[in-house]
Amino acid sequence: MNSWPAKITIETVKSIFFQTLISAIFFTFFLLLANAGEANSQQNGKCLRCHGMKTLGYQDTATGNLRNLSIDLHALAKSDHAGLACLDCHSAGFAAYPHFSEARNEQLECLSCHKNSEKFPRKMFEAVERSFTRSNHYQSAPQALTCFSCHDPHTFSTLNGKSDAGVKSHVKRDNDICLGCHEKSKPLDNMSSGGAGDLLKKHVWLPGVNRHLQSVRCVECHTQGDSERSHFILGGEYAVKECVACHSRDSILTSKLYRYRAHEERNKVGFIHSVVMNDAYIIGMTRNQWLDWGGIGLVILTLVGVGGHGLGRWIARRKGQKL
Amino acid sequence: MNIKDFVAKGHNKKIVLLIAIGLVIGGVRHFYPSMLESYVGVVNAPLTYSNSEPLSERAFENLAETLTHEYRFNRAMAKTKDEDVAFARRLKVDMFMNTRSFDKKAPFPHIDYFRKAGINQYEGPETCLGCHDVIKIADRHGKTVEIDTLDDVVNSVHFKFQSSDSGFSTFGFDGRQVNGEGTRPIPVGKINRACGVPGSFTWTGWADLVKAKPEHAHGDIEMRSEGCGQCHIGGGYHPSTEQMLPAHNAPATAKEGIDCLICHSPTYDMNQRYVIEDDNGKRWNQDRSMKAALTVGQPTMETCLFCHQHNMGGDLEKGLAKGAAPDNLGYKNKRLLHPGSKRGNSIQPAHDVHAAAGMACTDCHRPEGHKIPRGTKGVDLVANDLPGKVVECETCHTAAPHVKDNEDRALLNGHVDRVSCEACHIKKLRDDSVVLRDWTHPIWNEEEGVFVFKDIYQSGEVGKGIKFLWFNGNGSFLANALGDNPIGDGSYNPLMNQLARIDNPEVIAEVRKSAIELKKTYPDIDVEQYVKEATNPLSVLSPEMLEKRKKMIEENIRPIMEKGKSKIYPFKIFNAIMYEDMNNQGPFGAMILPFDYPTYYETGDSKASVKKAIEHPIIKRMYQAPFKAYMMDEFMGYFGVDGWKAEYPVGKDGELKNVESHWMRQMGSLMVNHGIQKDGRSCKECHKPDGIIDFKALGYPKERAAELINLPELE
Repeated sequence: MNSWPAKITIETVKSIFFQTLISAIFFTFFLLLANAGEANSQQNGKCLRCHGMKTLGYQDTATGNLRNLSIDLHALAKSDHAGLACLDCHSAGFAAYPHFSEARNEQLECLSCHKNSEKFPRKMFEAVERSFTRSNHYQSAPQALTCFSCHDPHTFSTLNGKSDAGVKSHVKRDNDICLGCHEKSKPLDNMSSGGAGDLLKKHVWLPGVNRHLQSVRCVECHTQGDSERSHFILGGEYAVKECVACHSRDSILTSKLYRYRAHEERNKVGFIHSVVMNDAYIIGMTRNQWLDWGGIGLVILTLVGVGGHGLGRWIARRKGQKL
Repeated sequence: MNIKDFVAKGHNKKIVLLIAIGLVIGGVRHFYPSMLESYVGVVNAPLTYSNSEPLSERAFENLAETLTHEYRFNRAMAKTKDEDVAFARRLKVDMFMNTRSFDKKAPFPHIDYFRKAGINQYEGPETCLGCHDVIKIADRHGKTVEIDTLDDVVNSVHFKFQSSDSGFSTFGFDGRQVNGEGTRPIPVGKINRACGVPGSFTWTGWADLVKAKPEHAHGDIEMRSEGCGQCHIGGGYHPSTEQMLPAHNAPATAKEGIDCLICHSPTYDMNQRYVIEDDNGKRWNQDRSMKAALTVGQPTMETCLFCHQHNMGGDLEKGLAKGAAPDNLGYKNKRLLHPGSKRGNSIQPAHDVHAAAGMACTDCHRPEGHKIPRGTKGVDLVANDLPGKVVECETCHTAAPHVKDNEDRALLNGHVDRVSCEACHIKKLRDDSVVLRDWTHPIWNEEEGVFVFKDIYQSGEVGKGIKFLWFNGNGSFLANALGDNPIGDGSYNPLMNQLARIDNPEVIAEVRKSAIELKKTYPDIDVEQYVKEATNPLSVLSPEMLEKRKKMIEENIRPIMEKGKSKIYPFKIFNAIMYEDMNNQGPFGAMILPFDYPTYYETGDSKASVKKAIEHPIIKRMYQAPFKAYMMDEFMGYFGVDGWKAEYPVGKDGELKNVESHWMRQMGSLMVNHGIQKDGRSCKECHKPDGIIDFKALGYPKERAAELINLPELE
């Protein structure tokens, strides 16, 4: 069968023309896109040939600490920034080796991309910036800490949407950020007013302190309010110290890390269960769903029993009357 | 009541039975050791040493004064440095040197201990154990424990030369870890491994006297000492054979022969180390003088090198410390020197940064009592007293060891993940490092007046005596480094390539030159065939054997190669041609046969020498059913041979049967970790076309290999 149109009309020509045009545009677009991707990976490959070395780094001459220049290729590929070229953030000077002066003078700002961008929820990073600048971290040493001090842009990936791991692994990941400085680094003792060196000693008032540190993020108690404000780190003296702040029906925890998970759970088991039963160890009154159902069952059985008994007596009486 | 009635009574029966059992056990305990001795043909007897003499009180004090003289003199000189009048100073120095409290801090505290304890004669371990019967040691977890000193020494690898425990980093060609899972543990180690460097076994070459006709003696015979026992801390007539036989400890006489001082005395006189012969046989003499005993302390690099010089810089190294073994060959029956160093990695200050820093061996090889760690990595079949205890550069130098070169330090540190420290910081071994050794064609050495093996090729150069291989810490049963390229394309196969072939044209030319030289003495040699077999030992394998080899590598060895973390290490390569028992041949080689040193050195008849050596009772036992069942089957399993064929390799006519001379089917690769140089290699030594590393041969994918020899950063 001949597939050509039997009669070539002006409409057919138009149609073929437009189809070709659209195809051409799409093709060019894809080509450009593909090229850009390839160029990215080629350029990144050049950087990662060295920065992919697991032991790339040196001992800082001033502090003696290890300065790790290695990038975990696996984590990078899974990170939120995986699609970017290295040179999107790092200046062109980094394209060639060596780039010591570039590295020395480099001043990267997360907010230059993340602020006023339509890609992110409105005012989200503005809020982060606001809470950070009001935080103890910024206030006590305005130049010492930046976003990078806590967040590695090469491995950073947001929690939402990827949280198939349990609460504990998120807690660990987030707490490791804090502990990176507050547990291991000695100089901090002089920097912070109270001296944060011996973490356990500071939290000795907390019953089951290790269990708390494994199950609750530091920021739950050391900040106030919602998740954007988790950058508003307060000094130790303002931290939450009341047990009932968490261990209650309207636990503050339900509004923080667990919000997402609570939402998920709400879809699964309903609002009431999700608030009072969750896999974190502390929030609210941890209850067992089977016990609930068992209790309800008992009530129903009692009702059925009482009702049945009443019904029986009622029937018996009626029969008795008849007799 | 007669005996019959006594036995007949019920409860008496039990008593008689108990006595009978007791007698049997006692009898076995009494006779078993001597039965074993006569079975394997070894002798034990009380050991005496003529230099173990009592000192008079005056002689003791004279010796003590001599030993501390230098210290006291220097101290007195320092104290009197402000005294201007020379004569007055001399008197003051004299006074200070003889002031009693003045030498309280003098070296050698044992002078005072011996003086107070009234010890005026050194009688071997007995003297040491008088005070040190137990010692406190820190175990691996830092806990202090008290242990029996003699037990500790007797069960150390330094004494027994083998281990039946697990913890070997060696894997058999059948894929089993030596004495690991799925094995029946057998004693293995230096005592019984097949090795072409010494040319003999520990029993057949323990302590020998060789009649030499050195040039300087003008035809007269001079006796020479030779044998494995020169470096053994036991003083008996054989290695510690009993410890590798079932359920038997070293006999008391062997324990009396332990040479504590060779490790603990910096003034140990190596001239006392020569072979002596008595009614019971031949053994090695020791320095049991009071001088050596009074100076005891912790081992130093010098004391370790009394023995280990042999496998570090070798016997021919010059400029060694005073008292070093090669410069003190014996007051009589001088020890023969061994040309062709095994590893050629000198640990003298000029060649090694750690020696230059004045470090002791035990700074890195940190002992637990008398057990000394050799690290977690090892290619050769040497027993390990402390498996799992690391001896690594990283322990001190951290994972970011390059600190000075500001330009490239990060990049250099980046290499640490894939490249060993040794790869860059051992740039060269000694020139006399032996690569190929021919034991089958001895040649006359004019100067020494003996026939010696011929080193066909020696080199310490990269690509010639050194090869770069992937290494994950494991080795094969015949000392081949195992490892694999972590990003490789699967083509890396050292047992078929790097270790099975020499293809450097310069090396081949040298080998040919040596073969032509040998032909002068041995006209039967076919030079081209000789060169072919020496540089391509796989060429003698039948096609079936070659197929079996490839299969065994893929099935048994590759999984081991892929284990753990591999890095590129330099290896000193080595192969030897020896006589082999062809009944016990596998795809990786056949059981080698030992040489009898006196026959070899005196007559140069290598075959007669083998015939003589295998007459030793223990070799005969090796070829009998009990030894086959006890250890040989298991041993050959590791060797890549299915079962031990216990057919004694001498025919009815008295000639060797099924014995052929061959190179081992691949070269061994010996770890080199000493001789560390301060300045490492430069980038371009490796990263250029025809650099010292053949990235393609190391299994890198083609594109990656091309990239590695052409890095834009180096332009």
